[in-house]
Amino acid sequence: MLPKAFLLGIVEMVNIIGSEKTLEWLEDIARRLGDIEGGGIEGAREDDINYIPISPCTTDLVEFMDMFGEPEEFKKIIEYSNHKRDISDRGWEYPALTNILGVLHHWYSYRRAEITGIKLLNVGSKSPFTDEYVYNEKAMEKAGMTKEEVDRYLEKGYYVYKMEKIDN
Amino acid sequence: MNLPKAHKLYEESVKILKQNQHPNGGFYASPPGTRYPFIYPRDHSVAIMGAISAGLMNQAKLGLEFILNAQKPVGEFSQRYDVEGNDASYKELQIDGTGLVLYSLGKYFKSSGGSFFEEMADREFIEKHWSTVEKAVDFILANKNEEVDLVHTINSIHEFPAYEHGFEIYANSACCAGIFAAVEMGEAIGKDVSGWHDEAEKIKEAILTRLYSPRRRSFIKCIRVKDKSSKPIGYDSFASNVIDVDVVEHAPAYFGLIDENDIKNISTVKRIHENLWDKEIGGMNRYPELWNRNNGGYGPWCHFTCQMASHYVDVDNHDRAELYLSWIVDIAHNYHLPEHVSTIERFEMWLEDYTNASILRDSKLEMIKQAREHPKWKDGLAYITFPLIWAHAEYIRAYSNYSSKYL
Repeated sequence: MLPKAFLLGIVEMVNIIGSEKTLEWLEDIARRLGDIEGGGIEGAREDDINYIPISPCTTDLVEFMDMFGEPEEFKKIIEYSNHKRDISDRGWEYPALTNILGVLHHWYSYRRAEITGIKLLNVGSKSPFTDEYVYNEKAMEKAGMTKEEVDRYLEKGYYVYKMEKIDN
Repeated sequence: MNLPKAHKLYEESVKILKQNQHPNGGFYASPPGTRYPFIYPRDHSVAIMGAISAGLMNQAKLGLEFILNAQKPVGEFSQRYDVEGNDASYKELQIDGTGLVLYSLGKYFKSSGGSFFEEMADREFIEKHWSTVEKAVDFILANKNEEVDLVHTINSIHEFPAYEHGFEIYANSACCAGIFAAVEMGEAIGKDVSGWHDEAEKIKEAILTRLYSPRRRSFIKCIRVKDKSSKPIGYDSFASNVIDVDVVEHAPAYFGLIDENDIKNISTVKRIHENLWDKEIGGMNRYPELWNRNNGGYGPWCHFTCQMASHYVDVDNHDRAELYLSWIVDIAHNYHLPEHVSTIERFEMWLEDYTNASILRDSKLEMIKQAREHPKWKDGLAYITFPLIWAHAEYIRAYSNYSSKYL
């Protein structure tokens, strides 16, 4: 019940306070969860690449979308996150989003890595529903990676990050 | 038993332990370039105890410094860390690791100062890390179910929720012993830890009653419960028992909660030996073959064989102790020990099962390659994860125990 309640809550929040504020709300939740969990980097590593072989919480989202379809409110949040990425000088720190849970997963992972002194550049993600690849071009540029290089990791993972040490 | 070879294996094991400690203090589970080049609190704690047994107190202290500084904000020690101490977990809660860190810290503290414990014990180290100890105990107790006084986990020593999700015996024994260790350390530096003592006693009593089957005359593996706070647990969706034999049903004695000679332990070990001693290869399997989750094929594990050898030393069953320890000596290749050993036939059966089921992860491919390239493959044996530091740490402890009694 709780996963469905939370996902329905996101829909309601967009209707009450709008997609911009709801995005901020989700980002804050993710960062706070990252703080509670503490420093760390989940998933597999190959040199300075980190990738997540499984798509977290997909079952909950699939069950929800089987019942409700993909709500327009989710799409609005993803569009707004992409807009923020496009207009920001720091667009490389935003997620390559394939679904609403990517917002939570990205900022949670970003915060946990940040605590350990590592910046995660989400160069690409794969949709757990359609297997479509999505990229963050600004992150790829900062990471110095090509699409072909990112694709090699997307074949075996859902979120691909370049790990960069944060200079103090 | 080939005693010169057994002693050489001890010396080599001490060397391997030293070589596989990163300068930051973490003991690799297996060396860089092999399957587990990370620091797992469970393996790391046993490596620390191996170091203590071998008199490597500086290495043990460095290892403890590393792991105590890696604690998560909630008090938990994660599934695994990288060499910098960053959490690199990919599995959910395995609370035995938190108990084991406390337990190994307690072992270090008791060994520090040697014969001059009162004057020389390393109280300064315990005081320095006391807030970490407090958080670890609080974390364990936060996962204790008040209805049955047992600690809940998702994974335990086998990282296998299908048989470990709930109130599992190894996790409970490790956590209970860890709290008792914290009590001893707290008392030694003047802390009021009476509340912890009472909680540990409750857990111990629950292990000895709820996780022991008088009719089977054996400890049992697990009370399956999905949610730690299910109330009452009888209505939990998983509510059932795992009564299959598992080598870690020896855990209450391994962690010193009961004596090795306790009748409950003796009859439990009898059941373990009858069901898990490998009749084809020798050595101790960890659980029944039909669980079908031995990556690389079903077969005996070196560190569990060492643990049971040590049990037989403690109960003065010399023949059985020698059977177990000599198997380890014979199975070592160039004085290195694998995680476990399988036959080619069983290895290929496992590979077929996992391939057909589409559950063979990429990360297993390297392990498969290394097993096939290992010189023992030509003898019909699959050596899986070679060497495993945990196996060497337990060999150090078992051989020390054996030699101090019989040599």
